Amino acid sequence: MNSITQSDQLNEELRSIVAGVGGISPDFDSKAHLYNDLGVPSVKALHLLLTLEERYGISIDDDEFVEATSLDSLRALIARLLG
Amino acid sequence: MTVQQQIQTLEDLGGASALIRRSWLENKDQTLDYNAAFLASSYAYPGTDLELSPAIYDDRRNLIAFVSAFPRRVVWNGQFLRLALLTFFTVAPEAKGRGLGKAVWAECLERARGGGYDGAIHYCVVGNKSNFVTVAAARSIGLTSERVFTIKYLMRPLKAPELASESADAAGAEILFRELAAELPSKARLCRSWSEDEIHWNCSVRYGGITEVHPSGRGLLTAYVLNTANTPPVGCLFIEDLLWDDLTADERAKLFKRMLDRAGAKAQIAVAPLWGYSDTEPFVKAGFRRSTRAMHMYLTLWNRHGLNSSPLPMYIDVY
Repeated sequence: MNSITQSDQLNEELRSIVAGVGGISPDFDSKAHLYNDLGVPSVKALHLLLTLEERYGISIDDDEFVEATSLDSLRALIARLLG
Repeated sequence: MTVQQQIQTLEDLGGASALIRRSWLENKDQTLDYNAAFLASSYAYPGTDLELSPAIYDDRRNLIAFVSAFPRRVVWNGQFLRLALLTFFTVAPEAKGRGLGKAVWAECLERARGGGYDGAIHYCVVGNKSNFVTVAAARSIGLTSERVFTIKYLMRPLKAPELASESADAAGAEILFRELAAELPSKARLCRSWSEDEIHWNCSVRYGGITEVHPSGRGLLTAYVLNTANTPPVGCLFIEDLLWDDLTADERAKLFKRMLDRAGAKAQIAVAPLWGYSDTEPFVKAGFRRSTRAMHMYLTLWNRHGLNSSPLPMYIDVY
């Protein structure tokens, strides 16, 4: 139950960060392609990467970030890095 | 009247700029502020022929589709090739789906072939519909557009500098550019070749251009600044020519910092394509990160020099 709550919390926080940095509405589909479908520009993607590293105190591999193109895949990546 | 009969030639760069803004902002891609001054600078490139910009106008003489082409000369397998660089491919939102884009693209290739070019080069953002339209247009006139490379980019935010450095001596920069660029055919298999006029345009004329010369006179970088089209605009520094292989690692880092500091007065982000012809370690040391943006590069050669060998590494520009 606790892990589910933490997962939900991470999900909602990531959704808020992605929407805020990417300049998109927060009710987006978690499976949608952030760049091709939702139109988050590459300039903002860089800010998203730097924001996530600072927020969670982690180092994200560039190639892994580029491959994480949806909220779901981004959440999986961050969760793995947070251990 | 058929589409083919309606194809004319671009007349008004202001109208072209307005159409780009109207059409591209409809897409989900990040687009840049290709304003009339930027287009005028592009068309001032030496050897540019307006005839290589086929366009379609509606009954009220409103521009509804066009593409531009600019000359590039490259050396590949020891041979000089004249390539037409096709770019600014645009169709008005209300005119999409009628085959106009395919028509102007095919016409541009035909005009380039008729004008003595050996082939064409173009770029499409990965995932963009233009990848299919441009290849299909070439196929419709019996040509093959081959995707030869996917360009990855590095990016980094910029900060406004505390002290702006002095700009380079233009004449000296052009001489140095010529000398350093002449060394590149030994490092790049497909290598851009420069005339004196083209070097002058690149170092001293182009819109938003920045040229940074190392004090030793053994290294040089060029770039240009262009804003994004969205609101508020973001100034983007596009790093172009990396002519710094004769410098030490420390000298490269210092030259690079000078350029980024100077650009920081006008741009908020720096962008560099990865071609593989030069050392990019200074980018990593300066905190550049891989971008989510990538571009497919296509070659369409009707004089089929060199197609049996890889063009990598390349020294050319993305436009």
